[in-house]
Amino acid sequence: MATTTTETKMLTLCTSDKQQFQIEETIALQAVTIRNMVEDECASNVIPLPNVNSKIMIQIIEYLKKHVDSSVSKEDMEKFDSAFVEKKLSEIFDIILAANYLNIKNLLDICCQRVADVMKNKSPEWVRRTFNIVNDFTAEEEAKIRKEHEWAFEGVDED
Amino acid sequence: MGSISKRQKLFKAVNLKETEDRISNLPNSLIGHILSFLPTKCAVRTSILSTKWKQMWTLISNLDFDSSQISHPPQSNADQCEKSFVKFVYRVLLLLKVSSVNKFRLSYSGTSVNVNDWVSAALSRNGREIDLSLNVGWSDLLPSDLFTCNTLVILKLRFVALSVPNLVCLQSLKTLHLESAEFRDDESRKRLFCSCPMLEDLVLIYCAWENFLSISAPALKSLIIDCVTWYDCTEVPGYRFELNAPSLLYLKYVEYVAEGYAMKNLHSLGRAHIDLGSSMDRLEVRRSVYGISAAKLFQGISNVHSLQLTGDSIEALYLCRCKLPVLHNLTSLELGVSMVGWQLLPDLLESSPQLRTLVFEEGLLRTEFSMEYTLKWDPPQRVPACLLFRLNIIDLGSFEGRQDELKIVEYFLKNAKVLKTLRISMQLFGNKEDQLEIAQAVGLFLLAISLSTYTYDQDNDYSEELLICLVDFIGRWVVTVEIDDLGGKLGGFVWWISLVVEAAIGGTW
Repeated sequence: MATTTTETKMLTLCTSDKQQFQIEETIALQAVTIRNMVEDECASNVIPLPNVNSKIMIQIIEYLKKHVDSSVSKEDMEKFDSAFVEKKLSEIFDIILAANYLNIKNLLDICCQRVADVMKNKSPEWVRRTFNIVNDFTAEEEAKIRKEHEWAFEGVDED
Repeated sequence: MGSISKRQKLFKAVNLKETEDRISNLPNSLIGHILSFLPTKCAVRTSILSTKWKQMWTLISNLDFDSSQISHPPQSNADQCEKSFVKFVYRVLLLLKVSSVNKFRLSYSGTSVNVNDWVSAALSRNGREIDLSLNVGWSDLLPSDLFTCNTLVILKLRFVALSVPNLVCLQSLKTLHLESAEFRDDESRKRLFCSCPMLEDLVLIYCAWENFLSISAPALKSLIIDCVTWYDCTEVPGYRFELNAPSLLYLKYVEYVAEGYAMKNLHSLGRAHIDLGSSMDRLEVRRSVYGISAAKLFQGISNVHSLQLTGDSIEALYLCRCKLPVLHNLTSLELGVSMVGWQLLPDLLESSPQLRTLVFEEGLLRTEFSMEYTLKWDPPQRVPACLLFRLNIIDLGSFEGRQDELKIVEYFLKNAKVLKTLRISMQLFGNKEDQLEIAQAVGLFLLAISLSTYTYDQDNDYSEELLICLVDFIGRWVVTVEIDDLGGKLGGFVWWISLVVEAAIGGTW
């Protein structure tokens, strides 16, 4: 996509709830899915993103705007990232799905890291309660798995 | 009543949302991705959450095993725990479903198995990053396919013994960190350090050389060699160091002076941190060899704009009577405190004609020798060029206000003709009155010097400039004094002194 114009090129993104977002192309192209659409020229002026709603899109644009700025130091970017993922888990899951669809690797990674940090060193019971996972094992099945991976079940944090 | 039931419904909907199992409903690949950020032990533990989760951990792409996480329940002994860990690793490697392992990290200090099988298993899955902390000897060298793995980008090894095969093929390797890594011989090491075309970041910690260390890496940007404490001082080997790194930007070199240096193509080098081990016996016996050698090291890095020299370095350079080359680009110099005082300072200033910033982070004194220690400062016979034309900033940490310290300050204030900022940080001990007295004495002294330098020189171009003195008392106060028009307004100085005193009294000690 060779372009000779020096003006800032804009793209319009349309979310699942039919909201339109006008953003600079350089910001939007960080999402590999959008970049592919633009490069393959299969996108018209408006890029439809049926898997992302406007509420999540606003947060993703906030993230992309920060990350396009090459003047931000590595430390400041890390600070931004760790503040960015300080959200409710349900929101994090929405962002994970959107980042996966839009193919924004670092955003996906920091959100998955956030979920992993919640689980780290916690007992299975604690993880089930926190994530609303229903245990459908019988007592015998559970005991069998524990035995198979004996070492994995040692030394968990107190709940 | 309709409204209540509506509200109840709404509440139920919200509540439902909060109790929804979002994570289990993610696509399996995303669950696998989340679990990849956990230590493998934690990832495997999720197999017990529910039937859906039983196999989820087999989708992880990062493996992270740490045997130190073995807890010691009272009923089992260490031996049993190790067995349990070994079995665990084998099982994970066997059951893993992914075709490529992004990262393989293993920290294992046991001896009951040869870990090569594990490493090979990770390598065969196109490992991108390998990070091993082991405790292995010559009997179980790491597998040679480690050095022919073209997918490897990051390799970190601690406590390993290495024999590098004749053919090294690490086309993608960018980061290589070695700590306490023993090589079969110097040639073996050279093969590794000279066969990585993409290598950008090389760290060597506590690694020993026999005769020479040779590094040639066209893409190398950062090199850290931190090996000085590895040796017993009396048996420091006389090695040669060859470095060819045209892209190198940063060098940290913590080592004894080599017997020879071949520093080639370091024209990109901007920043260097040099910490030469000072061993008096070694340096004084073969002074001429080391003096010439050290000069070659500095010749090699003479393009740097920022240089940090530790106290030991200054001592080593002084002891071997090193003749420093001119560092044409040097604008920032940070110096540590040495046993030999400031005997080398005139030479350093003379070698740095462009110097703008001079930092004495550790101060001027070595506090552990405080009473009998002297600064051994003899002002240079002629004023170095950097003082006349360039030096803007002097940063002086850990100032104690001793007479001999003040002599050095006096020299700089009188001779640094374009000095704009002098920052003095003091750490004051003792009781409040003593501290106050020192603070006042320092303030009065600086005042006296400033007056004699500036007030009587009516034609002085610098009289219009600001002289900023920051006296930072243990971070509790920063007293900033800006004095305009040094030519005439004596009142300014009086005000300044009172400010120093006020801060000392007003604060909470």
